[in-house]
Amino acid sequence: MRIVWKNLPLSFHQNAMPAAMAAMAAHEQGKYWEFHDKLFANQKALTRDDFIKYAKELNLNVGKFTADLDSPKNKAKIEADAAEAAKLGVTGTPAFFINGRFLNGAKPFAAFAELINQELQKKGMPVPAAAQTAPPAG
Amino acid sequence: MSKRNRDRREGDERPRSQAASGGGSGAPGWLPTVLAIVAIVFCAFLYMDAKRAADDIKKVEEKITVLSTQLASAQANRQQPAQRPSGPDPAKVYPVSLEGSPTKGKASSPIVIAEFSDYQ
Repeated sequence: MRIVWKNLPLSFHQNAMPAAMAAMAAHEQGKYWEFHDKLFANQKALTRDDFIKYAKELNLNVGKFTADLDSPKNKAKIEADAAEAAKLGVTGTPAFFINGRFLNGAKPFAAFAELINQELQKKGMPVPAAAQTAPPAG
Repeated sequence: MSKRNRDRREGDERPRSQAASGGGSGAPGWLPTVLAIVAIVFCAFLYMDAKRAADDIKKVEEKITVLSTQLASAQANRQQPAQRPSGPDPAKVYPVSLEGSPTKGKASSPIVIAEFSDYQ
């Protein structure tokens, strides 16, 4: 399975845009998902100083990271993601496209499993037994 | 009183006595005509009344049709947001650009999940 992150910082989430910028700055140094986990674990601590602290914890190059917090290139990428979401008709987060098929909101495991199994069957691939029952613990 | 006046009164008297003697069987001669007129008027009244009732029923039926149409469209409007909660059609396949986006997992994976989300 491949997960692709698309940025959709909602305008009424004040820290969403800076947080998205920080995550993309970490992405520049190959640590997107590690930084992503830091942000999710600390959703109440999303100031610029917090971002730099997380960068240090992940042994990133802090000078480059700090400069990238204002990267026009990353800003353009985030805005392009948001524009793509608008074009697709996505208005809220999270929104998923599983092999291009839309699944809206934070849905239970079964909703994902159903779509994923359908896609596997379309490709003539076996559906894993675990995917037919309950989610794995955690 | 002059003779001429008396003659006229006698002339007046004559038809009345004739009418009285003509209805020798009991009922006056004009009665069937009057009854026929009354019957026609009564029938006309019944007909008008029935027609008015039919018109009323037609109006009520039309009103019911209008109301049921309005009800159906109101129900459709109410159900629409529940069925399609705005946004992309779950039955369609949309192309999502993956270029330059952070990804996790094998590039050859048969399942690609694009997640639009934010932090906070």
